[in-house]
Amino acid sequence: MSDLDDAYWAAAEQGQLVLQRCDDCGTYQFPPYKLCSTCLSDNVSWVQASGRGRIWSWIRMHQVYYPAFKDEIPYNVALIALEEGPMVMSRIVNAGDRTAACDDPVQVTFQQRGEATLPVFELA
Amino acid sequence: MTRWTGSDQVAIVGVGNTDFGALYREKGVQRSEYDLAASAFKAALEDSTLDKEDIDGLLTCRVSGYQKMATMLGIRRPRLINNFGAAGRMSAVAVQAAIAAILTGQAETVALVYGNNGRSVGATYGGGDPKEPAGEFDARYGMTSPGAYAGLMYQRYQELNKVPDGALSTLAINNRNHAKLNPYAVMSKPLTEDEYMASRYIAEPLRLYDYCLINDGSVALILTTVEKARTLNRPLVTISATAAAADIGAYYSSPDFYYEACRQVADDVYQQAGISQSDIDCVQIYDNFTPTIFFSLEGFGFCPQGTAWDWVRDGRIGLGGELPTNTSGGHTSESYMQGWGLHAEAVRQLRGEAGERQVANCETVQYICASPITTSHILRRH
Repeated sequence: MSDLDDAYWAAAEQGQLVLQRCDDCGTYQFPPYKLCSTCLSDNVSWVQASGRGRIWSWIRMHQVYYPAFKDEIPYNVALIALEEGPMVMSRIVNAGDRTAACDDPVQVTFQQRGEATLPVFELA
Repeated sequence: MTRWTGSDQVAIVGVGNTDFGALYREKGVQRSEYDLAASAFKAALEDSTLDKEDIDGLLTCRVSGYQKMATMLGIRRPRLINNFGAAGRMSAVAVQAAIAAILTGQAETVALVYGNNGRSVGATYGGGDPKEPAGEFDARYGMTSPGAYAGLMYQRYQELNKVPDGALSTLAINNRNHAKLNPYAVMSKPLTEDEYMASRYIAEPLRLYDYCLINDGSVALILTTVEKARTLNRPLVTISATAAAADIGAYYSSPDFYYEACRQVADDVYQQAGISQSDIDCVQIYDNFTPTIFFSLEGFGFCPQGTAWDWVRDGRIGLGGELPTNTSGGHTSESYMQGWGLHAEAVRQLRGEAGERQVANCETVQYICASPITTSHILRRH
């Protein structure tokens, strides 16, 4: 876990989904790096993301790989294409009776899991 | 950019592997990947009729390092030596490194040696410390394992193309049908569609039978110049074409299911070999998870994008069909040797040594791996 990773989770604790944005070329990126992966500038800042995106795809995990998730099986995992461009792994919550589908619009919300606050998404 | 014009100048003269099924049936044995790899090397050397002293290049794969391997095999002063990591995409990459070394004179005769003791060490391919670029983030959501990322791709493929549930069963059953004819295969029991549908999900939409096996084994190949190969009085199998194109991203889920990478590699290899898809007698497709077979068939132009799930039905990819695919049983039924076993099968088919699963008049075989390093070779017999 790098300092940059810590900054991402600290923002989530404050109820913010953040992304890195290059001060020079304006490109958003995730996961975070010290430099801009597009123009290699060192001037990269954290900015608040819109929290809007679409479900690129999703699965239901049935296999126990991490003991901490054993009691939640099967649980969904979704890869979200954020409006700003980057993709983030997350989960869909509050879908109710609706079945999530690829390309459905979603909005970020936050969920406590153990000591961490996770950005998660609900159908918009 | 200069394209490789060295068609058919490098030959595969030796293949060797362990009996995967026999190792699998022998339970509770702890095996070393080095011991496994050494036995495949010995078999490949014997197959080639070369002497150990002829080997002046050694490329190892999945073992933790070349030094211990070379020491064990008594290969003291090779001109070329290196190690490739434990990823399926590396089999063809290592073969390409051997070809390049032979064509440029860095080595004349290269042994490629792969050893896998995944079952002995309880490999799970998920959980633990993530190594993918965004793996630490993914793990917070319980996301892990290559199969789950392949599941993401297949869920999207399924929704976009309105693919019915169970379409992957054709692939799992096809692999199993071929494995039944392969004396080395781990799985030889018949697999029915009902059994496939009733099998448990791992990362839904993927079921147990969509997953590669986890087993112990090894494969070795020996490559040399075509001139030297001609002195061996063995069936001559050459590499007519080879190419690669990477598709790098933070996730093991390509946004286009490796389609553009496959298109690029397809253009390269068919142009190099001067042939087209219809000239391929059988194809060996890297299938760590069954959906890669659909992605590969589409990306390499065997059928239009989005249609492979339908195209493969009715025996088209079985022995006797239009495009026999994974004739040894692939990674879901023969053995999970991360592409190496498929290379060995390609050579055996071309030599006419594939026994009951032999493709009639097999002259041209293609290997395909749709992955973050997408690769393909076309192999020919003379």
